[in-house]
Amino acid sequence: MKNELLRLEHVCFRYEDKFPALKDVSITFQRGERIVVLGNNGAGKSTFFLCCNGILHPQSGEIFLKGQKMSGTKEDVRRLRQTVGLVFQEPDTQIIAGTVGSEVSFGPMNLGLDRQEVELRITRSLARMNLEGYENRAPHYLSGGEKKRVSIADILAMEPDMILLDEPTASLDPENVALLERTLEELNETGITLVVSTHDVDFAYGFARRAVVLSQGEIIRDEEIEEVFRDEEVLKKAGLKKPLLCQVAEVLEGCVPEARDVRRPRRVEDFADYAKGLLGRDGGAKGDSR
Amino acid sequence: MVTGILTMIVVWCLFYGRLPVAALLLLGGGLGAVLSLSGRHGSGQFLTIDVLAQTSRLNRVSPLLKFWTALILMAVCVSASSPFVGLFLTVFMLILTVCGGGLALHDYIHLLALPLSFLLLGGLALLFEMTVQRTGILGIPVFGFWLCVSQAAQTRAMLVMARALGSLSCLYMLSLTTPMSDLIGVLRRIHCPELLIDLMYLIYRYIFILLSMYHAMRDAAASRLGFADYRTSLRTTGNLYFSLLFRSYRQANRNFDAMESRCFDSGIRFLEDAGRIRGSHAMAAGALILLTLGLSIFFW
Repeated sequence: MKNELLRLEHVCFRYEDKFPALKDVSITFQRGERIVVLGNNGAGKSTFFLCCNGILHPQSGEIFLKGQKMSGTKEDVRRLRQTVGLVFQEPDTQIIAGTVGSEVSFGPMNLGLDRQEVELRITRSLARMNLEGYENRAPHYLSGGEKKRVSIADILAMEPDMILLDEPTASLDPENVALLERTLEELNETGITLVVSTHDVDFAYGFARRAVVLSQGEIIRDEEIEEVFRDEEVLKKAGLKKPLLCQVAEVLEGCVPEARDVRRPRRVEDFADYAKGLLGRDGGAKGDSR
Repeated sequence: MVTGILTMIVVWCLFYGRLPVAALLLLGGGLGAVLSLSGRHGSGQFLTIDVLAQTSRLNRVSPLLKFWTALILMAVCVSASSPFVGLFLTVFMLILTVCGGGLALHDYIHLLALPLSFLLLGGLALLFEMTVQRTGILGIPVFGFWLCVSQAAQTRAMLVMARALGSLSCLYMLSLTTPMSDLIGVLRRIHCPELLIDLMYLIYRYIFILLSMYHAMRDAAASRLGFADYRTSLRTTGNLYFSLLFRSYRQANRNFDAMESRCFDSGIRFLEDAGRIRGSHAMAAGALILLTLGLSIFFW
């Protein structure tokens, strides 16, 4: 496929003397997609990301980057890490430099770029994350939300085609979650594939098109997000709750039978159209989510 | 407070017989009062210095220039044969850091108080000589001996203390206006071994992570009455350090993963400021060095 970015085939991974963390995982990510990875604690989400990024080497199975099989050579690993960026859950895990500017320069410098290009990338990625003027600030005196943005800018500076974000909404306040959501949307609009693992189902429902559900190291469902949240069995197995909008839509569908044919709203903003459609004021216009 | 009293005693002994008693009282009392009144003791000296350096107005001056200027001035100060050079540098650096860098005066004095108390104790040792007969200008009888201060000892102590104070002030100017990462950058540029530089970057960064981890765990332990009495606090502290070790080991693994995921292979490289030295800054530094040199030759 032309637009295929990353493909995992029958990937198995097991930590030393432990139960397998990933069991026969096969998945394909296309260019420009936005995907959420759902699953309870210990389902293997972080391990999955570390494998996608080439940090962990699966005991069996193959990884293809843009259709090309990744062997374990240094060159391949490098290409994988540059193309598929990984934002860690804790910004403090990632941040190593004494100033934001040099922190963001770490990735590009490791790529061996020349000085001018590195400078350009620092400026660009800081601007994208609304961090202009932070170059000389020390990361340890920044707030949690600012640190998160620095850790994303870190990865952006490497100009990846795809970014994996490990629970980016954890430990952020609602305002910062909203900001993050907007930022992610902007990034996606520039063509970057985003894969986000999260426990925040409401955030996931609004953000993603496709959802992958992991449970005990296996992908138990990989489909359009609305379909996933209709699948009671999968939700139960993965310990997931339905998003609020999903629950409300179900209640409405219970009361108004014709609601079943209308597309469910995925954002609060789309809910007005949906409700109007149901009440027939709009001549039954289909509430179409963006 | 201790520093203040110490200052009074040392000043008294240093200038005894050289200044009229009234001036002596005024000088000693004044300096002692200033030190004890602004001797506000906070916790975490290291972090204080880091915060102050981050916020100093002088932190945009090329660190390389500051580094060399401080080094040269220290050399001049130590080799000068007059206490005036050291005193000049002490006052000048205080004014530069406080007025130029925007540091609060009491913070500066507070930071100075700790090394100063060591310095003063050393000064006392230099001033007094133990003799059988009373000699010199000042004598205190102790168990049949005399602790005496001679004029020669006064001159010597004055010189040593002025040199030490002057060099200390140069270092303070450097460390209070230059963030740590800039300093490490300077060390890299003067070709310190790469390994040391990498370690410095990592240690500097992880001090903060370790410290916040420690604070969180200590508070959590305190909220469960872990420090209720002496025995429990001993046990809690032991457990705390053990889990700190364990957690930092795990954290180190994760940090290494994160570095690898950004294509780290060997050697930590950051983009460092080219640190262009501004002409005006260089000229000011040059003038300062010349002035100090001139002073040290004039008072030879």
